[in-house]
Amino acid sequence: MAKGLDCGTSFYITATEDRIKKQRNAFLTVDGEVTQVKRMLKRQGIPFVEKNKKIHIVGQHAFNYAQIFSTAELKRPMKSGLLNPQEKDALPVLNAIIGELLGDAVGDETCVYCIPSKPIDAKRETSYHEDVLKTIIEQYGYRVKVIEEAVAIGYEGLVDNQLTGVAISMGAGMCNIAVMYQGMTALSFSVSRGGDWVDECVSTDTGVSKAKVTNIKESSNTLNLAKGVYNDIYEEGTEESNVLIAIRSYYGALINYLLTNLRVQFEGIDNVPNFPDPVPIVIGGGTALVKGFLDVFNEQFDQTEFPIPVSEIVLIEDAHTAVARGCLSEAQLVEEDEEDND
Amino acid sequence: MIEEFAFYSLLLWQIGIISYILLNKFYGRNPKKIIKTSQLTAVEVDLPKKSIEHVDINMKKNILMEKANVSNLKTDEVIKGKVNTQKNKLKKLRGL
Repeated sequence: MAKGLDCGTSFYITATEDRIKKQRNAFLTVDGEVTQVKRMLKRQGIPFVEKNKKIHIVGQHAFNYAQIFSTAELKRPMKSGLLNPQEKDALPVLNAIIGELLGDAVGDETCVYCIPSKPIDAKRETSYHEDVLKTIIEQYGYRVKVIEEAVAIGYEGLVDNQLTGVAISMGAGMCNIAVMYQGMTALSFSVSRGGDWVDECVSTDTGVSKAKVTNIKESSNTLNLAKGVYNDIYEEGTEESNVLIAIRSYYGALINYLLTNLRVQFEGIDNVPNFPDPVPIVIGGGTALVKGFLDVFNEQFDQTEFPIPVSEIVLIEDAHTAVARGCLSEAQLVEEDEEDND
Repeated sequence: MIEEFAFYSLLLWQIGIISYILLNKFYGRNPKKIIKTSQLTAVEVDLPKKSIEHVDINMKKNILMEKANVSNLKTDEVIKGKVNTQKNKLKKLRGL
């Protein structure tokens, strides 16, 4: 059975034809005597990973712990869309997460996973990240293929426009962009800012911990970025209202940064495809899930400055799983192609 | 007047002859060696038509990784049901 895997900074998501599985990509190292800690966690049914005499709580449980205990440091195996160089225990945790989501392959199964495009604002390559993920997935017996994250968004959002347009994946660690023309990628790059950058900036400006900001952003019923919906900063002095207003402000800054860089990159390349007709911009990814996201995007978007005529700006249905579903489509076609060849 | 002219003329001739003899004596035997130096000059050539580019190589993929000891790890969220994709449209676009 074909599988698509979205290897995100905040979530790992797999898609198969009959289900979608999500695992928060975070962990928390528990101090204390190993045997005693293991016994306690097992008794409470809390999942953990043991490596080199260290115990790590993995996934949503780790996230929940970090909300409760402000001193507990939530660790991330990935940062800015790539493997976290500061996190020595990242690989065993990632291995455990991927193993749980994919399981062992049965027969000749194909897994298509995604990697970010090369970032233009960070001195990082994607080769090592790509190889590590490939090695882990192959350990579970899969045939592996890799595609760019924004291209996966294009496979979900641009099929009704001959795979022509701009695909944007708004992730936690970074934003990925691909300009596609007739299925080919004319330009692709990433910027190392995403939902995490918003959270960090909001945390710095409001004095609320980053984990708490993330939680408010993901679960607040009152968060709506649409103009006029948020409360007046002087009316409400509560911590949450300050956070919500700051989130809106930084979402605007993030989208502005993204669109400005897209325009500059587009001006700098040769052989720019000529788009005679207006093309859509399609957006996916978890950072785009927040209510009113498109309002902020439209506020920042200026057709007169944008290098391509744009017909519409669309948020893909179920934006959080769009990358995984794009990977799944590719995996299914690979398997069908191989069956036909056999 | 003519005598004075003849006297000064003779004196000047003598000074000239003596100077010639003396200069010839000191420098005539060791004439200055004139070394012809050739100044190196660049010769303009046409640049190669193809610009010089680096050749990229693949990284050697030899990553060893041990599996960790995992206990009771469960997926945070499972959404069961048919997953909608654009596979058929994608297949048609590719002409498969």
